[in-house]
Amino acid sequence: MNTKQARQHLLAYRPSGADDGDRSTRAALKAAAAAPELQAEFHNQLAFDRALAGRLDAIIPDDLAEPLTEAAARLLTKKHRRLSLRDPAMLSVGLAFLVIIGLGVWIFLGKANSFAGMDEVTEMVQAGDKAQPSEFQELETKAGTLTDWFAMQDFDGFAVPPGMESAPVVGVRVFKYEDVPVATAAVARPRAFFYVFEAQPFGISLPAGEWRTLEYGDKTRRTLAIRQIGNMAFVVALRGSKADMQSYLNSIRPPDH
Amino acid sequence: MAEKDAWEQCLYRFARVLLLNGETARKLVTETLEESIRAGVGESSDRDRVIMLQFQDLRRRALKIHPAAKTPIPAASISLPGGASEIVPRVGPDQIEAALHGLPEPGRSAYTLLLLDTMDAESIATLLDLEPAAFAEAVQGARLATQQALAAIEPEAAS
Repeated sequence: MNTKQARQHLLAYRPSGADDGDRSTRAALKAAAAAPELQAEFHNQLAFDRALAGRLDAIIPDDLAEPLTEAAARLLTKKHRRLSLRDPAMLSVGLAFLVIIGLGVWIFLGKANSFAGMDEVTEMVQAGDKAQPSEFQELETKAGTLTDWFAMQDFDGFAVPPGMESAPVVGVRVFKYEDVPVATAAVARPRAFFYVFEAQPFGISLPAGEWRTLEYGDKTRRTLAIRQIGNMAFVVALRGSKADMQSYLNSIRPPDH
Repeated sequence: MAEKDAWEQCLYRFARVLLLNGETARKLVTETLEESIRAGVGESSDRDRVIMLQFQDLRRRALKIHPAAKTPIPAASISLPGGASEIVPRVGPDQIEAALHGLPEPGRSAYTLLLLDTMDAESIATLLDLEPAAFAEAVQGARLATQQALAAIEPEAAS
């Protein structure tokens, strides 16, 4: 750096010496040290600037210093404050997010247990549940043995899901709902009804092996669970809540599931 | 605890020099900071840039309220007279403030910001949109004009 360049650089020298570590400032200072005239001019400039800077420090009202510092801190820390979970805005956003998630889960669960033909199946089961004991033919057997019995009643395709074959049946009957034959078995433990019918007339089409559960009943809480076995729909209906039904389904689930 | 060399204190001093009025300066600095807080300027991760923007915004506002003088400044090729610093202890802070206030722009802002020592020369030049050579000339012109203004103060007035 030549003397002219050094002078130009040093004219903008910070009087605090804060730029001394800067490479070009070091070069300018080195060049000034080698040029006595520039060195003298620089020292004169530095003394003047430092004297002025020292006097400017006095310009600040006592009552303003603290508020300014607080405002500056708020400005530079706003990002962190915004991310604080204690911030009311963050709490509101978080709450809204949870509500949306909850709504989504509620809708998903609602849809998860709905199925085509749900209303018809509910009506059919409610009608079947009202059957009097006299309408059943007494028959003590296991549910898995009823296929032939129902076949002899001109009802083909009776089947129960795996794990339900040993359910203790105490009565059976066939009735029609909207001209669709429905095979019914009264089960002793737990007290329940098995309903088997063709899925297609009600538009039922469920993924293989999947259950749908639904609470129904006006005065007494009852729950039905439905799944598809080939072309047939299988329904188990019992008194109790969805949790009771789930408990029952879990209890009859075969070991390999 | 506020530190006298904190940048926000320098922001106020800068406002005082530009406006030569303590109350207006106080109001302007507060407004500048509050608006930046509301606008989320502080969310930038570049702290130095956030600070520079405060000075830039304050200067813009101040010049609207109180435009700078248009007096010519001495050429940057001229050197400061020997012993120039000796005049400074003989004048009060208000007179120094007034001397700086009376400078034309951009030399006034350039020299005042350099004295306040909140930013390096490059940042100040960027803030004022000046090339390094033009910035150095503006600083030197303002420095010479300040010395002349202080030297012109009668000893009685200075005391």
